[in-house]
Amino acid sequence: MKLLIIEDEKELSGNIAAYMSSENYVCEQAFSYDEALTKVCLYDYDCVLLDLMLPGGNGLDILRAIREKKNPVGVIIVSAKDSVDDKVKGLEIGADDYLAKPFHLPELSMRIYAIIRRKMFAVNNLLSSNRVTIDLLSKSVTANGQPVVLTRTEYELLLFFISNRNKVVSKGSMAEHLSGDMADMLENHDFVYTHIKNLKAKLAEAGVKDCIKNVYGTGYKWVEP
Amino acid sequence: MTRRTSLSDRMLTQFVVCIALLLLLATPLFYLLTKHYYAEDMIDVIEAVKQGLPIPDIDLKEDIMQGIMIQFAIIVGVLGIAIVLTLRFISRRLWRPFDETLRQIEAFRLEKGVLPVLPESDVAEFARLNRTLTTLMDNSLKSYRMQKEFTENASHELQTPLAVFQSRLDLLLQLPELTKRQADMMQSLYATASRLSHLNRNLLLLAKIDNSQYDRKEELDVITFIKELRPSLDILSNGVSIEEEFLVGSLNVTANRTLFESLVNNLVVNAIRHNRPEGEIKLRVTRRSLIISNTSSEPALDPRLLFNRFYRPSEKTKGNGLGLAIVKSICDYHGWQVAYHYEEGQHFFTVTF
Repeated sequence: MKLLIIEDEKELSGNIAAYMSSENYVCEQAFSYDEALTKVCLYDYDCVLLDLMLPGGNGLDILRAIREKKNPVGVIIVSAKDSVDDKVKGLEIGADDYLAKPFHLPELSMRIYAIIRRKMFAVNNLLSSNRVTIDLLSKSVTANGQPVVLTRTEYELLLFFISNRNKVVSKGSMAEHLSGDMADMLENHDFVYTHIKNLKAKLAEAGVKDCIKNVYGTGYKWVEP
Repeated sequence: MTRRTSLSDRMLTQFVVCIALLLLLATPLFYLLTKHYYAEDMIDVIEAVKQGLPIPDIDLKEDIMQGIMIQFAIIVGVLGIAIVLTLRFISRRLWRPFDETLRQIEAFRLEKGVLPVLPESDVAEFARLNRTLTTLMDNSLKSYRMQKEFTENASHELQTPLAVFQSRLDLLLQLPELTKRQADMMQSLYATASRLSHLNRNLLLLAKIDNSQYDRKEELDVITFIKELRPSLDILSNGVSIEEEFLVGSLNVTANRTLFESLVNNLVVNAIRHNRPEGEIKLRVTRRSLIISNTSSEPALDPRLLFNRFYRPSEKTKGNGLGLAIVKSICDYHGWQVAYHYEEGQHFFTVTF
């Protein structure tokens, strides 16, 4: 999978590349408007991360250039300017998703994963890992062939885990993923723990054990051998 | 361009004109006076001489006294009327541009960002006053706008370093050799990053409300909105029971969706945050208001200070002290009322639409 990270802040771009590279992505970086425009015109990518405020131009113009060429690449706008207008405009021009800074890398990773999955495996709606299979269309889960009934929160958590397999995801990133802005207002993210505990118990009941590893209470990891 | 004259010159001119006019009008009076008092005796004497009659007895002294008194009274009367007229009516007309200026600056609000157009005046002092006032208001508006933009820009600029900080932590967490102690330290760094980004988002939201950037409004049903919010609330509630009570079928308000969401989120998250374990939250919708109440072990709060930015009643207070300020700002923006009261161990927040 090829990923293009268009972001002028070198360190942020590097962090994203480091996180994504270990997930079988080949990451390329562009730090300015011109560089980005050249790259999207010359090469094919599976997904493009697009910052809107770039030295040399507006990211939305790059998006326009991509869509004018009928290039079906997935585009996620990553912007420091969390404005409704920008979001609406970006999605209108043809962005697939919009993420406001600051964000958690697992969240970004999950969004990239979701877009690539949608674009590439349009036919296949099954996602599996560790003998757990998720049917994305009916939102149902089976473990070891047995159906597992999950609450909406547990389902979202499971999807988040599998999208970030073999990665430690922090409690905060899960809290934010589950409840958006509201988690932001709570300092205490312990509510996540309750839901993980329930999810673990339900999976264990179906015979899938030890796939969610606790990392000193700071984060959790979906271990896939 | 008309030539500007000073206020005192104008007053003097008008006063003189007024007196001249009145004196002109009073001329018949003087004529009659002269004819019947001064000249009366002389006419009698002339008549008597013509007809050869003895000259009548006349008291010149008394006549002169009377004449002078009457003349004096008329002059004083004319002057008096002239003064009253100039002060009351003419000067009212003269001061009208000043009244207009006053009215304009009384209606001037810095937050609205509209510079009033002061009337043109051909009175030098008023023209100068208007010029000075316009410059003053224009400068205030400019610096107010700059200050507002600064807050917004500063918040935007902070987002990227925060993203760097947070993503670096996410990477650090992946290290296989991480120890328990390091993980604990990271936990506190995560908490700090989260507080920072929350604070920054709140500041940005406040700045944007102040800058009136949420002008897109739509019709929303409070009850539908709360029902949609319920799943997220249940995720966060962590043992606190949430009860709904709708006294009406629907309650429509015209609001900006983002802001309304923020308003309700802030109030309910507050209700969860300050609750006690196994406590409860009640969401009531009446004909005109939304009432959110929660149990808490914390004492009553000061309703006068509660909605101030960065108000914290005690050092134990959670949150960044902006939540309720945002609620107040959003209510003000939409012209709603928000009130707080404490009753039998429960904190009540009422938003009246």
